[in-house]
Amino acid sequence: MKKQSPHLQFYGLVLLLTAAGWGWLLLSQHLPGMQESTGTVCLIKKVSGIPCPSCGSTRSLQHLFAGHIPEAIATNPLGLILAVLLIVVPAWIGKDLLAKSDSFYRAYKKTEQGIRQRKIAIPLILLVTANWIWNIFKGL
Amino acid sequence: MESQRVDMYLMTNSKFYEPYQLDGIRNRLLEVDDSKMLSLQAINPKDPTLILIVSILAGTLGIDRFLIGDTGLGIGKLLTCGGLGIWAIVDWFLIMPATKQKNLENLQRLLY
Repeated sequence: MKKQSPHLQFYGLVLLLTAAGWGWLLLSQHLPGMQESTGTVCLIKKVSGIPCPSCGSTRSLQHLFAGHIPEAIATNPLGLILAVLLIVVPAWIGKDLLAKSDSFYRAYKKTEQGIRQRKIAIPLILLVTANWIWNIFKGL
Repeated sequence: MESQRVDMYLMTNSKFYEPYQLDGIRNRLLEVDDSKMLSLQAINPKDPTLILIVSILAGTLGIDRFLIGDTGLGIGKLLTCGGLGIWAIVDWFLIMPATKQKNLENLQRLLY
């Protein structure tokens, strides 16, 4: 049996994740009481009661797609990054699949290597930690 | 490399790789010269059991994926509360084979 190339396997995984993200977003949009009834989906918050760095992302995305950008940033700035990823990534992969290219996979690998460098990794870790502390103070 | 040294290496490091990978690793190690031994000590494979413990305790933050070198997937988990908790739980079962695969990839990068 012919083995699927690694970039196609990766595209499958990423498309599945983005589809799950859009599905979750649509579900939470149309069933506003869902989160209140099921409780939080975050394991950290469920176990410890303390929000994780990305808690509030769904609410942030809901604000963003309703056009309330300041509220989206105030809820969780990571929501903005997620919004960009949810829109750009499927479009880029779609373009790659049509053009039979692997430009997204190559860009992903290059970015991954870049992020591992200490001068980039440390500021990013500090930013995420600062956002986490902010989340805890906001009581998300 | 001498077969005695190779067997000694495999005995002490077998837990870092899948059992079916060991034959291939042994054959390749027998082919390479002794100078690779020092580099072999430096590649520092990750312990799958330790990564599993990290995954159970801090998998929602993606730290398990960061540790094995899957930075992109680690960021993915971090940004999504561990994929709404589902990905974090799925990774409890996937992280040990993924760690062993990463260890093999690092070893192959050195030996080929």
